[in-house]
Amino acid sequence: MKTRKSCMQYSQLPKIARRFIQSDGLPDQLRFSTKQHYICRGFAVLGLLPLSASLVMAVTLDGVEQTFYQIVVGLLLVIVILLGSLKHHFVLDNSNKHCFCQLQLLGVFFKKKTITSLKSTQLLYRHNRHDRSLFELKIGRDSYNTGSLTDTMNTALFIAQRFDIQVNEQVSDYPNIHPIDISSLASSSTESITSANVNTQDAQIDLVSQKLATAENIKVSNQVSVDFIEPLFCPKKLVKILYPLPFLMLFAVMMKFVGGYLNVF
Amino acid sequence: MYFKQLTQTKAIMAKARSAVITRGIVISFFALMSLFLAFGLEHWNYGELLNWALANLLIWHLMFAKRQVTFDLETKQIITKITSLYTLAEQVILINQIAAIEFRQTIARGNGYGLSYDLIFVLKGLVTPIKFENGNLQPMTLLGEQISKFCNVPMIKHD
Repeated sequence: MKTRKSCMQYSQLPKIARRFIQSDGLPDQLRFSTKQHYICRGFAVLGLLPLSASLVMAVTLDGVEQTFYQIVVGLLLVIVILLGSLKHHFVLDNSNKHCFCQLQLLGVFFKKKTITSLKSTQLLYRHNRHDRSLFELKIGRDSYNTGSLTDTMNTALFIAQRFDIQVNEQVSDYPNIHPIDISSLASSSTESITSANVNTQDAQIDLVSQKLATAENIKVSNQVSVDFIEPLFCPKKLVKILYPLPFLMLFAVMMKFVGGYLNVF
Repeated sequence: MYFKQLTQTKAIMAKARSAVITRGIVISFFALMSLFLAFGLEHWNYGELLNWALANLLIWHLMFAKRQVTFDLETKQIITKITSLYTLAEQVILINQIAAIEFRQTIARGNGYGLSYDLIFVLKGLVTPIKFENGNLQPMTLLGEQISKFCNVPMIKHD
């Protein structure tokens, strides 16, 4: 019961994490929306465009054209509803101690796919590949943006407290992956919640890196750190493209006056 | 572009010979056409001459613009140059600044089928990684392995 009390509640999850972690299966199951799930949703939204257009046609036209568009509306409506209600989840299951992918359509559960045990699944948090000041959480095959390091740690803690799953991190000692245990995760994330939220990220990074100060860290630290690298292309540099233009123009004007004498055709 | 090691300490990104020849043939056709037009320039007014010059500017860059990448272990630099007879842009990355080579998935932009992947250099202390090359996963992984072996930088495989 004590552990239950100290557990993070679903409502305590950061807002950004509640987007991809579903609350319906709790406390036994935890469902993550997969990439396929979002692709289906995207197609459903795209399908709304022809649907609305043909709906207008079905109302305004008459005769054979109207029946045609009515049929189109019917077909599109079915497709959009099916795509919109399709759910594809990556599920962590505590009752059987394994995780799997599952398709769900209008309350019907389909066959479980790619079943692996919880022990062999890893939870990894790392830098976002596009913007390294943000972080992402990788579980199963997909990775999810979780914003700041505090939010990421809280989300990882939320999952790790419920499921027997190994949490790894790739932040403090960048290219290397280190396992991190729940207690240190819990202490560091609660500290950051109570502390002022101005420099939480920096504080977090320092905190974790102090914990993992090893010989490897020292080896890495003789790398040179950079603040700024000039981007290959910027608008100012693009002007350089025009450099040959005056010479070409000069050549053209020259040919206008001299060209007549050279014309052999 | 593929990775080509020249000496023990130097390597470049080289172009396939077929690509160079094809480009030469196609562009020289356009260049000859514009030169042919140039013999009749005496009848043109200045507005048309400017248009001719602009079209030739395009042909110039299609003909000469190229990206040169040099990996130099002696100076410990990766130099990316974009030239078109003169230097357009240059970027120097020190090898010991590179924390790791990584991959990221991007939306495919008309380079065949499937998904496309960026090969990125993660620099220590830099917020945005530097994009190096884009392509399918298999050739990008091969390229990443070659670079990481040559420059002795860690590579993180895409999962």
